[in-house]
Amino acid sequence: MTETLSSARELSRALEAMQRQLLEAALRRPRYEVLPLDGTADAVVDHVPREVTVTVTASPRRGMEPTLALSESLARQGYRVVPHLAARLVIDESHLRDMLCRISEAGIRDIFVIAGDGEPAGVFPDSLRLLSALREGQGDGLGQHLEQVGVAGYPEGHPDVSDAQLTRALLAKQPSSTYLVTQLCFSARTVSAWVDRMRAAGVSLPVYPGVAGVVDQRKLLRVAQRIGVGQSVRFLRKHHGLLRLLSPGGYRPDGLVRELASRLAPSADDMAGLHVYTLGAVAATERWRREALEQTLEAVDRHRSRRRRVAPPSRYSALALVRHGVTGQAWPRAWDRHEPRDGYDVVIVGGGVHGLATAYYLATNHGIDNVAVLEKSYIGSGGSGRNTAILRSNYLTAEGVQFYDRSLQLYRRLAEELNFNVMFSRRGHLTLAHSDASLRTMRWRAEVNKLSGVDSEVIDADEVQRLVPYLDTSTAARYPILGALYHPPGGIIRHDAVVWGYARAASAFGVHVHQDTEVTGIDVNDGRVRGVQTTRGPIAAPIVVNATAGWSSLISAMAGVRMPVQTFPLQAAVTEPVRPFLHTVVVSGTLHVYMSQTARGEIVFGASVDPFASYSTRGSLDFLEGLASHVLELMPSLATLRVLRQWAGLCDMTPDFAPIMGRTHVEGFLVDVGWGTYGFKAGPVSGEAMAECIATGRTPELISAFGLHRFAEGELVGEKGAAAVGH
Amino acid sequence: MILLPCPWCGPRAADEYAYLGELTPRPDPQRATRTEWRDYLYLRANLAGWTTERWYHRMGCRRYLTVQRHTVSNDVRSVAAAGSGGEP
Ligand SMILES: Cc1cc2nc3c(=O)[nH]c(=O)nc-3n(C[C@H](O)[C@H](O)[C@H](O)COP(=O)(O)OP(=O)(O)OC[C@H]3O[C@@H](n4cnc5c(N)ncnc54)[C@H](O)[C@@H]3O)c2cc1C
Ligand SMILES: [Zn+2]
Repeated sequence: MTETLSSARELSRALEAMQRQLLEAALRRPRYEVLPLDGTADAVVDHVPREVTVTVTASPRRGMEPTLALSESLARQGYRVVPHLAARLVIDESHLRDMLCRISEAGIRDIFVIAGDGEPAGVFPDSLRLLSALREGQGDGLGQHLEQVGVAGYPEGHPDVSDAQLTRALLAKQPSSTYLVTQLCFSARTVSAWVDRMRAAGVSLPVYPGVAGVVDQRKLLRVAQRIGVGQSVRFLRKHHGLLRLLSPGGYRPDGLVRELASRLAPSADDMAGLHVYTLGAVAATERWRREALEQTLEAVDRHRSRRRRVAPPSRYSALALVRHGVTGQAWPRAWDRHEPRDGYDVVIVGGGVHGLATAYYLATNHGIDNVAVLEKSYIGSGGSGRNTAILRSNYLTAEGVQFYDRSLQLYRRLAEELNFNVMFSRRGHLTLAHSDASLRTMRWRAEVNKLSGVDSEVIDADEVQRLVPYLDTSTAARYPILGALYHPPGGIIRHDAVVWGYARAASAFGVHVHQDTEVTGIDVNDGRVRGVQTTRGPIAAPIVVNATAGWSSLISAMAGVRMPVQTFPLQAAVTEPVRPFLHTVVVSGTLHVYMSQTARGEIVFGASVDPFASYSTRGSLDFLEGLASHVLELMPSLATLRVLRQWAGLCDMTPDFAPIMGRTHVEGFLVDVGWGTYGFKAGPVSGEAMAECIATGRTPELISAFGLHRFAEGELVGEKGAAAVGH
Repeated sequence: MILLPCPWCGPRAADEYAYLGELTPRPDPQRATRTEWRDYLYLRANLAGWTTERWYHRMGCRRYLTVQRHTVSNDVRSVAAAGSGGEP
């Protein structure tokens, strides 16, 4: 009884979280439908931000030209544009071809196909006929640039066509289209009932519910009457009262959008986004959207802080320290031990920072806590316990910079959030330039960083000398230092503490962390993941996440997923502790070496990966020799320091030095791998994004460039310049 | 570091060589689809066990070699001239 109650509670919590996510995503990146009139371009550019997609209707009286012209102009201004193609306005196939050429030249990849009103001007009486022409012409390149083709859905029926006919038409259009936008509607119940009917009939296209923006009521009524959505206008009238409906304040879709999110939340495709009919009121609609988004974000934050209040009990207070010190009493376990359950909602393979962070954010941000992390050895036994713990966000591509910047922000707050001292230490990060070519790339990197609001600048050798007095900045050096890329927010952290902190907090929220539990097989059937085989028996799960870094090829192979990954060892070394003298992190790409001083006073060194792929973590003398000679080139005074230890960890290298995140062709099998020599700093943001991906079924924008499919599509990310020296 | 016995130069330290990666059969460039070609370029088995791979003796005889190596222990089972058989 209590069990069903608590799982019902879990379910409703998860659902609530999904609704909020859905609402936020829908309000953040909606589609605005605008009319191709004079002044529309200005209204859009003045008021609408670029993350909103703009769809341009076709006017039966004025033909396709104004639609195309406005679409081209908005695309030039940097908008994602969707022109409406009205079948009845298209004369013949060559007209269609011309239009698609213009559309493709404007960089537009998405069109919306409708029948259009009035008598056909040419050979296409309805949208189906046009879609078929598109499909048949595909062989010789017709519309080959299109990625999306939308068609209309009619939750309230159509004034001239029967429901059965409408459904049959949709089924016929389905193979040549990729999404559905519904006709204007005012009742979430009507939309969700219609979605259910369509799904039952076999229509599986993602749905964008269409709602009116903030518009004058009279205009709204007129439009509604014309397109025959009488039923929901009656609904509107009943709920708002005729007077309010006609009041000058105008209609606001707040309630409708919220209810749509709550009814359609369980399946991501039922509300793939929001389509807003602006009906000429672009500015007012945009004002409304901002307010609504702000309110949603506040609600999300409130929800999070409410959950955070039940965060791990603060066992590690100063008082507790004194008490334990005086009494000699043992500390309680930081995370609990459990017998594995028969099944979990989510199984995460790999107990490094990525796996543990994903589990933590699933539980805290999404209320999904029936989660297990399976680790074949002890947590942090992989790269997460072996890295040199350097954090930075001065990458080379805009995607990279934004992504790592978010991670740094999370790291800065992590100690407080987890009530665990992760010893984040902001040091400043210097990448030395020994050649004009590297100075040039650094200027480029600095500009990319600044554009994303990340602090980076190129400094000269004198400034370098001031920051790091012991560096050999003389021109007599074998590789003289010409300058450096200086990144003040960079720093170091205590890597083990991060792993332990996440494990402890996740465990407090109900996540099971199973150490000494090796995954030996993955059960897949019908293209879906069913669970895993482990050294402690089988565990069922509809979602399995591969977060095993150096071992990730082996885990993916168990699910039948091939990967562009090669495993290389990366070595590091540490000296005896000395008094603090090195504040910043110093990196030299040319000399393949980087160093920092820990809080304990040791100097930690790292270098590039070993010269050949291997799963062996044995250190080598070659590495140490090479490292020592390079370090002495940079800082001759270190010659008297003794090395205490050296070690190696496994790195999952990808062809483009960027990670692989998100879904795979096996449903329910997700990857968060390809972290190579630089993935520790990405732990928090990856955990957050993977948790969102799992909870919502959608790939967050922040990681959309990192999908596995990019290799088959040839869309590699160019991060080599900023990530090739390990760290 | 490991020693690789070059058939021409004898046992030499691995850093005399360039490691060129595991051997995968190359599709016919004339016929391969883009996807097949990209799969060939990027996808790797990355096995933990015996693998057949290509090395180049860049600081020695400058010949290409086919090497069978265990990627966990780094034991080397055989080294032969490239193209002399034993390749997938
Ligand atoms: C020497 C070195 C220095 C580095 N320096 C930096 C740096 O300065 N900054 C930075 O950002 N990154 C750095 N990195 C990279 C960073 O360490 C990794 O990218 C990161 O730790 C990967 O974390 P993860 O959680 O994905 O994987 P890992 O921490 O490697 O965790 C994977 C886990 O999966 C487990 N596992 C494997 N197979 C199985 C199985 N079959 N069943 C169950 N569990 C399994 C492993 O035991 C392991 O614990 C460095 C790496 C090394 C080796
Ligand atoms: Zn040789």
